[in-house]
Amino acid sequence: MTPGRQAALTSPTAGLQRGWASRLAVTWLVLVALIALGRNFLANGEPLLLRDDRGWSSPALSGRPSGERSPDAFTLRAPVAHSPNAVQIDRRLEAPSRAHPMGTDELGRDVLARMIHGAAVSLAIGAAAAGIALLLGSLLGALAGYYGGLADWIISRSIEVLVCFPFLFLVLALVALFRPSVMTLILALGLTSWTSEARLVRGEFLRLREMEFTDAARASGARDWRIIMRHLMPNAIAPVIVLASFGVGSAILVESALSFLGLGVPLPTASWGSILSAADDYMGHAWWLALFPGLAIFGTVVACNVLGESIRGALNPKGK
Amino acid sequence: MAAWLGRRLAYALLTFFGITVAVFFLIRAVPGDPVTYHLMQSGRGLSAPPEVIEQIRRTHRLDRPVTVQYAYWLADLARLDLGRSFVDRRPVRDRILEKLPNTLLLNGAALLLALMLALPAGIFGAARPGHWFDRASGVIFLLLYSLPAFWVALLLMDLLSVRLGWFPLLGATSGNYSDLSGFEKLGDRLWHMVLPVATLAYGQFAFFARFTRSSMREVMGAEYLTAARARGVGERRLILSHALRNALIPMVTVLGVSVPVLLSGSVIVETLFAWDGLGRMYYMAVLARDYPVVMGMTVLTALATLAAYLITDALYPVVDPRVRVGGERS
Amino acid sequence: MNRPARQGSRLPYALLTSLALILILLQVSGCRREQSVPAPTETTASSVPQDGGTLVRRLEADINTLNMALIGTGPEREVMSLLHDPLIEVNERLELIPGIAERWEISEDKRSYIFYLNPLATFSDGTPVRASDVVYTIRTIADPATESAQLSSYFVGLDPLRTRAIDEFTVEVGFDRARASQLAAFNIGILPEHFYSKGDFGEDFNDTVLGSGPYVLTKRDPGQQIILERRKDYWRTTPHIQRVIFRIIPDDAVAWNAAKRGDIDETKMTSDQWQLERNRPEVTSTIDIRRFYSLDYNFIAWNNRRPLLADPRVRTALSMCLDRAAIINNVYFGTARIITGPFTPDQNAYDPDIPPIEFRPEDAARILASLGWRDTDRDGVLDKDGKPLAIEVLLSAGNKTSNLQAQIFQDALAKIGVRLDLVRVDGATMISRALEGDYDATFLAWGLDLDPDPYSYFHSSQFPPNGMNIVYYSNPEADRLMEQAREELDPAARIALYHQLHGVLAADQPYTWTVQPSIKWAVNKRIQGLRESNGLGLFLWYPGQYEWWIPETMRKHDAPAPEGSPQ
Repeated sequence: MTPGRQAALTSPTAGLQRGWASRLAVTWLVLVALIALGRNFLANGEPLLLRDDRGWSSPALSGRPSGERSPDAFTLRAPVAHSPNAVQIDRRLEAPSRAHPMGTDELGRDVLARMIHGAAVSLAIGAAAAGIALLLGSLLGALAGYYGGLADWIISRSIEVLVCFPFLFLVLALVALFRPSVMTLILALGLTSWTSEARLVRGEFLRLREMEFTDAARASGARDWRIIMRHLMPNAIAPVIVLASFGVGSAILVESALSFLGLGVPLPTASWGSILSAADDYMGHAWWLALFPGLAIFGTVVACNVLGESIRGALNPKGK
Repeated sequence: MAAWLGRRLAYALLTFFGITVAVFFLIRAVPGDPVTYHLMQSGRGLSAPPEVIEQIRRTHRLDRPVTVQYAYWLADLARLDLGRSFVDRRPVRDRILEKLPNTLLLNGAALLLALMLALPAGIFGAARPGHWFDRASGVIFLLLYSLPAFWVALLLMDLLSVRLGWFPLLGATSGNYSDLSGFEKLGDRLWHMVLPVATLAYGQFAFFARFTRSSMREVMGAEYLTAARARGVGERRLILSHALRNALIPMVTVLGVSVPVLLSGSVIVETLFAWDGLGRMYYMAVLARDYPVVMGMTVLTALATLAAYLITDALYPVVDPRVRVGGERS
Repeated sequence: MNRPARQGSRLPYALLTSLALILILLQVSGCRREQSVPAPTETTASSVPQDGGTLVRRLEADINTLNMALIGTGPEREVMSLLHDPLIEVNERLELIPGIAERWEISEDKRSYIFYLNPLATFSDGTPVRASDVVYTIRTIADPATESAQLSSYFVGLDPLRTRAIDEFTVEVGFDRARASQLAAFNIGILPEHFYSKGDFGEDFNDTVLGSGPYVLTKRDPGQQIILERRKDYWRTTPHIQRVIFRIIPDDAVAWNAAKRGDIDETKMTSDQWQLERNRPEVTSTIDIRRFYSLDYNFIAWNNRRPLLADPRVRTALSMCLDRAAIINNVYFGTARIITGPFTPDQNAYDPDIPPIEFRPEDAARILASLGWRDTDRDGVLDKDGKPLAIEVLLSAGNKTSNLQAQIFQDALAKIGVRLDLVRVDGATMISRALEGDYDATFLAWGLDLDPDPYSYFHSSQFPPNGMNIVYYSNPEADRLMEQAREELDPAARIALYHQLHGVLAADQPYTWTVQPSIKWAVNKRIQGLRESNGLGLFLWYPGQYEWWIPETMRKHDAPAPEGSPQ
């Protein structure tokens, strides 16, 4: 995935900087983000609003189950009236129906509710992992590029080691060493994917530090830190942001692969990858477990990649 | 040149040691113990007499400090001995050599297929920018590139082998492979390769095609091509001999990066298709804390990666006479 | 078309899944015939067994060694059982019967065993099996330098001085204490001393074998297959089948497809395969499906050292929230059963009168409330002294079944305000954390010995690393019962002690015993003479597979002739 992301940066592709494609991508991402933000209102087994003899309450938001209630109580239910983790063991692997538009999974949970809540987890993993890679990569790349010498040497060798490092082993080690959680997963993904960003920023800094405005800043007595952050970084960061947007899609893909190996998000957390991973066990019997999460992942990754292309197109118009 | 090579070799050696040290110490720091794991898996757990368990530890040198273990391992490595697997006591070298053909076959076929399709697609797109083919292929490449391989594999298996029965679901060979004649064996192998190769190849294809197209486009805008065109060189010749030659330069680098993957295999695809290759062996060795096998695979992939980088850098001046070895390239 | 179910047991999974399913020297099980469709009607000339033919068996994993003293895995045991005859055989009723030893005596103090070897017994090189070979084998296994992790555990307490050849065919084996379970340990093959004493025992005998069994090794392709050929000069009744091929097929879905195509003659099936495919015509016409229970159980281990889980009332309340009936019906389609204690219902140590813990979450909630657990902060989770009732459960990442059951359990407990945090780690991490006591709860499975002694799992002297009391269970009453039972040589009295112990453990709930799924086995209908042991399933008992035969009209896989010649 790393060489791919790098190449994507240097390869202008026709037809994608067009307005409609990037508009569609942005629309998709905004939509998914809105679904993720509104997940508790969209899919919830508890009523959003409840009026009974104790007055108004919102069991869905308070997290307190409403329990038994009188039949004449007023309730406002969520559009998808299922909680993502509510097990119904006697309704395992039901095909899509009116009650479960995307079917049920191997524990009888509503797949649509899990897709909605999974959107938040998958997006968060993608964005956070790419964010860490961006931050770490640009920082280390900047240090290496600006100072050169020993710092550069150490950072460059570390990058080389990391590139040769078996990725799966590293993730497994991190998950085994720390308490497995979404956070650990994000860290594992972020800490292993910053090398492309670092190389890119290093290259830019090597070029920029020889420029006149850097000398000027130095002459005016600015500290190194200030030169790096105020003068060089703004000039180097743009292409790295492109890389990071590809990184979001890449992290979502890797999460789904890790879920397949049982190393994904903790149970029973829904992520698109975790829903998809169950599909393998019921191949030929539960197509809905593969189709919906697969499409969601695909759509989001495409949107991230289109967005990356568009940003690059805007930065580098002659690439057309 | 010699000085450059010497420096690069020294760096590569240093990186190599860095990797082996990191993996060696990290896998021992990760929770999980090969001896108790093996006992709980297959023996009678801790019912074995303590003397026996101690003896097993001694044999594997697990009773020594980690630094001493590493020194022993290095000494063995210097004699080209990768040690024996904790699990089946066989030499790690034999185990790797046993699975290598399967992995090479799968990944080699996928890479070859991807390149064979990608080069013409990329060149054609670059030759006619804006043509419908170029625009459509641009979109298709991007879509293919974004498809989760794991998902594609599931869909292919569900549709083409479970529902339609065209291809075998899993494995590298059929159950009756040993009963087949030589020709049938070849057919059986190819038949089993279709789905895993397709799964591996489509992403690489999209990537190489995009890459070829973009490097071609970049080159074709260059002045010397304009000059050639002015001299009356035919468009076809211009593209195939002048532009392609230069567009291949970045391709060499990218290919170099792909070579190590040929050896290390793909855990996900090998696991999904029950393909008995190095990727799966490595993953299982990590799970079983089979340290010698993990280290053996680390050595293999690290050497392959470093060698690939070194060779691509050294080859650079061959494909691009403008670059001198040792010079900074952007 | 064919839609095989795929249980997640690709090889890495197999590794994780079989986690701690300690494979056993002997297996006891209750058998039940799934479909009593006998032999195919059309063909089959006669019911008189015919000699010859090739049987293709499935191995779930390649064997790591051919050295009998070093084996540890189930596949190794399966292959070895055809190459080495044991000193004592087990029959279909789980009784110990003569093998190489035609009879034996046990001394008055029950610390010495004298075996009289059958003088006809020979190794496949023609040399007779002598008393010195038995002494050599047992001493070698017990010697720590051999690193025989599995077999050595059956000979703890061996007295080397009293382990000696009395004459050429009489051997004494002495121990430093009496054990009711000791005799079953002699269900082991005998290694010829003249062959195995030359060379490095640990390294030189992993690819070669010399034994007294009815078959000899003719070919081994690592990772692919193992071919055995019948001996011409076998010393007992010769088995009917001429050649046995073990095909190594780790993946369950691949194996099931191969069985349907007839590429292999037998394989274990997953519950999903059984449920989805057993009634298909193309399956019923060619495959005979058998179902039985094996000697193992699944459980949730509660770390008794955790203050929260130290109270048996809390553990019992938790057990009340596991809906076993729903799991049996929905996950196993009715082919599993409830187990209430540390034995399986097929062992006579199991007390069938002990009632299972019913699924009664309301009662569980009441128990917890009576112990002071209330949801004072109204966050949906019970708490006491400011601490929430949260339990971390370790799960093996690849074990889909326990992941599934854990989530069912988690959902049921959440409803009464108990939070389970499910933590998936890889198998090795899980085992080391379980052995170090670094966990609250975990899902595990034990494979049991033929002998029911649960000393190693529940006696207070057996905390790791001494034994496998990984829950740190300690109850003087249980300790006393286990100590008495393992030295009680009167079978009836011993059973009574174990019934008492069963009651104590069921009340204390150091584990929550979950459910025991039955084993489903597919065998091609061309195989005749198939007989199930009322206990052991299809293999690893005598005569078992040696009675199988294949009618001449239904032979296949016979060509090509294997390379090399019988050793």
